[in-house]
Amino acid sequence: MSLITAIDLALSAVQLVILLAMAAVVWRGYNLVKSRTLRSLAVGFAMIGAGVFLLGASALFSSYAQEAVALAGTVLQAGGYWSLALSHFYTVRRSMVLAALPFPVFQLAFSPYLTLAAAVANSVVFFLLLYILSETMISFYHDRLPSQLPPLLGFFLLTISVYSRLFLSGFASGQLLVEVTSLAGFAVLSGPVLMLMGVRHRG
Amino acid sequence: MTNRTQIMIVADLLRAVKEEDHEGGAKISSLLRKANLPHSRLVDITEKMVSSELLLKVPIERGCLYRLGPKGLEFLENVERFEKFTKAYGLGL
Repeated sequence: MSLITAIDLALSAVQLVILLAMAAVVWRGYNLVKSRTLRSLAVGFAMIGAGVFLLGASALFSSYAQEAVALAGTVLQAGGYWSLALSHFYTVRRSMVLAALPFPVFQLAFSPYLTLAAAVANSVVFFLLLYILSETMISFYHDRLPSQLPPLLGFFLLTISVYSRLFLSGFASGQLLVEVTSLAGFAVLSGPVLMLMGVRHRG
Repeated sequence: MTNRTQIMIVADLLRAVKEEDHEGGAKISSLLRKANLPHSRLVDITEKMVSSELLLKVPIERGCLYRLGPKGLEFLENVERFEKFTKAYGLGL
């Protein structure tokens, strides 16, 4: 295992821990108030965490297995972001046409090459992130709450990270940069979760 | 605008009852004005809230008053905490 692969794996593991911790806190909230939004967030965070880790761990495998694990990771991430986007759809906007969204899934199902399927899944992740980022920006423009800044910055960093992954995947150092940006994104995104934990401990 | 979720309706009712708690409780007519719900739906929801101990039903000479139960207060605090949290992500609860 090369140094870059080891660092990549370690960064993925840290992201997995952050996202699982976020999912656990939000799931506890779901058990307290039974909100569909909190359930979607918890499921989304857990799926994204698992997906990020699988994507990082894919470098440990070779050829076909590597492609398959990377694809599984990207699809899990797409599912996670889909779950987050769904929360926006249910609670903020009902005008979005959901019927168009399963299209990439069909593309994935019938794609003959795993790499091509992974590229499609990455594109889906990118567009879902763009949607979530847009909704968060609209919400910030509307409410101007300081607590909305960390998620806004977090989703921005994650969008940059996924955008870079789409174009820098061929370079090992580029991949590392993507992972660092992604880690920074998730760390910033966890801000409201940390605040929530702080309030609970003070209470 | 989207419709209120069931949780937000329950939270709005708890807030309305809390506002009148110092006056001994809230009457159904007062809740009807504040909750913006049809009478039959309001009665149904308040009955469920009483059975799950979120609200306490205090009989009076004519009808009854609703008061906030300890579980209701705890639930309202949790809802407000997580409402702020979801708002940070640009979401509703």
